[in-house]
Amino acid sequence: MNITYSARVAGMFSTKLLELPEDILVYLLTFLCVPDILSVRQTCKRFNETANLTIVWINAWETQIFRKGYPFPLTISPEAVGKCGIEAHNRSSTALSIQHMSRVELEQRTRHAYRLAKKWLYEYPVQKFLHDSTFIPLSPLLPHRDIQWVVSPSISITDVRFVRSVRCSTSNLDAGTADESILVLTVSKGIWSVITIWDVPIFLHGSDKIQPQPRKRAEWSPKGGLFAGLCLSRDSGSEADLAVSVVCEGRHEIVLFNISDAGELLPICTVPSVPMRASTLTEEDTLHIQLQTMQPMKPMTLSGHLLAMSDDTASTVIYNWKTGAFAVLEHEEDEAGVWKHDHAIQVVFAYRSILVVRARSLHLFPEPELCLASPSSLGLTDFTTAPGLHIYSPLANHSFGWVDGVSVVPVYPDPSISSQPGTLKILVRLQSDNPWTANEHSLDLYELSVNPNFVDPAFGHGESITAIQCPYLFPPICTTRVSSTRGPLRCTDLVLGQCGTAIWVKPGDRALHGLLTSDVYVDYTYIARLGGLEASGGGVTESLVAGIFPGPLNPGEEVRTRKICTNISNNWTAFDYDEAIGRLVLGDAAGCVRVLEL
Amino acid sequence: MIVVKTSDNETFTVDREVVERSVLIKNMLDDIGENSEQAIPLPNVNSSVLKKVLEYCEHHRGEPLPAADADTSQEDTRKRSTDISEWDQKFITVDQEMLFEIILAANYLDIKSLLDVGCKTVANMIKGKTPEEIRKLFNIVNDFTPEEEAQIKKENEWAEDR
Repeated sequence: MNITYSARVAGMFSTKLLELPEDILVYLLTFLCVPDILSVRQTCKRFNETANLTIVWINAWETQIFRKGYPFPLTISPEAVGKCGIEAHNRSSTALSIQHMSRVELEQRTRHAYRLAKKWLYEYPVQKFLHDSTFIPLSPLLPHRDIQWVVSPSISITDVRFVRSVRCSTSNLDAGTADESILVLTVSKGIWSVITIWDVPIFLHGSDKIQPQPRKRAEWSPKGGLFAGLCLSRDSGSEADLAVSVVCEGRHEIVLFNISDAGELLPICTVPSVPMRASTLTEEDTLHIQLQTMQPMKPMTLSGHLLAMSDDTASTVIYNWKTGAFAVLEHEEDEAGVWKHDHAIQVVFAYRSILVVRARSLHLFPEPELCLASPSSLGLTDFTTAPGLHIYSPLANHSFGWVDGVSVVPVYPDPSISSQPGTLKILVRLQSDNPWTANEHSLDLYELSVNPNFVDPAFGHGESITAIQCPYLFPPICTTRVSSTRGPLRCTDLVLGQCGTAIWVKPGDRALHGLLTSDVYVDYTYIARLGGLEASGGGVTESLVAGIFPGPLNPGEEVRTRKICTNISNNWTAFDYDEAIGRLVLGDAAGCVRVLEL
Repeated sequence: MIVVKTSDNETFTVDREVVERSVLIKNMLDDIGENSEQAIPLPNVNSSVLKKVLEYCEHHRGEPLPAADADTSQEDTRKRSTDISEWDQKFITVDQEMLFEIILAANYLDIKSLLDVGCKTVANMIKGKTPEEIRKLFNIVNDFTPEEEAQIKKENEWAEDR
């Protein structure tokens, strides 16, 4: 710290706090938590000016959010994804993304992140509750925003996703303009399937009384078409944001879209989703090429120029939609020629590998080399596996049995060392509708650790391919178990975030049927504005539940659970969760969408 | 032994090891060489403050100095404002004027650990207080107009339920 300050100040023997030079004040503020910085700022002009310096908020973000591993909306820039480096979650440039934020935005986001972390970390005062009957428990996860709207009355929402948040450039506090827009995608299945993009305006600054009015920004409904699956890119500023597979008059296609900040759906290109498998047969010195139609593929993961798509049995294709290069990942069938239905749930671009999660299997494939399709001289279409093309086989596999939902997320041990590959955390919900099993049901958290003996082929010593090992240690190890109840659910999805929070829907307990109010979770039910209706539902109502696994937001060793809200209609069909911002979106069978901000 | 001279022309004779806890003095000594008889002038520090600073340096002599670019995990533990060692706590229990003088001197002399102790102490005094309590504690004059104050209050409200 090389600080020049006037000798006069030191010479005077009546030094006051405010007479300290600015850089010492800035340094002093690094020892204060966010609410204390805000208090100090309100004392006088000098402190207000100091607290308005960008450096103060960079320091606050770094020491109080980033280093602690709390959720914060850092974006992954497309450059970070790289051309071939498939590990999309490499966060080397994420730390830099705060430099593009204005001081106001950084301050707002840091304050929000700090508040959110405190909510997650809040420990329910059990003692107080037991000894003070007048004490009314307030949910620490009471959503501070609850926005609801109807997409189309009584037409079921089949999928709902966050696209991204768009910062409004003219964040003028007086003009009453929104600070931020959340883009939400909904899929409704009526006579036709419809994809709609909504713009939900958010006011961050004290204008909470303005009830946001979501606006429809785009709609897409191919005539006679049905959506078989979709996936969204999580990179910021990427060209392709959305991949949708459409079945139209017996044809299967995947359409790629760019979603503009204004919420428009801009088609980019169409990718055939039924690859052809080519194999060569040598008969009497002549080369025959046999073509075989593969199963239709559904888009699973979109990152940069790479699209991962999977069929419902064993194959996954990694396709570069810019160049047309691709690779096939395939595991072997249990019995030759017998393909069992095993639909893909998630494809993760992991460290030097690709993890394909299916309903009853988990396969880790090596990071493939993408090859351009067969030479045109063979007269094949552009999406055909070339004869003799290497099909990648799994390095390792595992099965949890039949699962209803799985969510995989890479977790980095130290946020400041970004190049280090992270452990993969896998939250598994086993199939729950088997009536022959006990009423007890659980969600299990598994870990796939990085293999310390793994030799990165990119930095290998020129050894042959045989030297390559599996980058993760198999089998995955179960670390935490959360009990849940068994019951019918329309929405069996679950989402696990990087910071160890997870969201899922807990079914209403039929066995209890309101006779008992006891519950496996400590009841932090969010009693909504619907009066007492939701609260009276008791055990038969489905509820949205958050689990906080041991980690930055739970210092304990046991998982903590919280109810966020309940749904007396028991008709939730889909949800999405953005841990970084603490935002949830729910869709139901009646065509209603609800955005909750924790 | 090294001789240093304060702003009020008092001289102190100290062990080199002790005085070198100040990065400023250490660099000076490295520049002028071993056997300079000259007293090092410290025009920004008066004798009563320097006495206090030297007491701190004496107690912490021999401890490793933090590296120029401290590694991140070290940085992390440093930023927790509550942990001040018992001796340091006793040492820094001084009136506010002296506290700020020590912070200024530590900053000028480039003694990072002492600067941290000083800043942590001020931070602990601020912790959890309302703006009015902070004003009272540090004799800060509220120089906002009522309109400005209302605006700033609104912008900085810490609503727990949001």
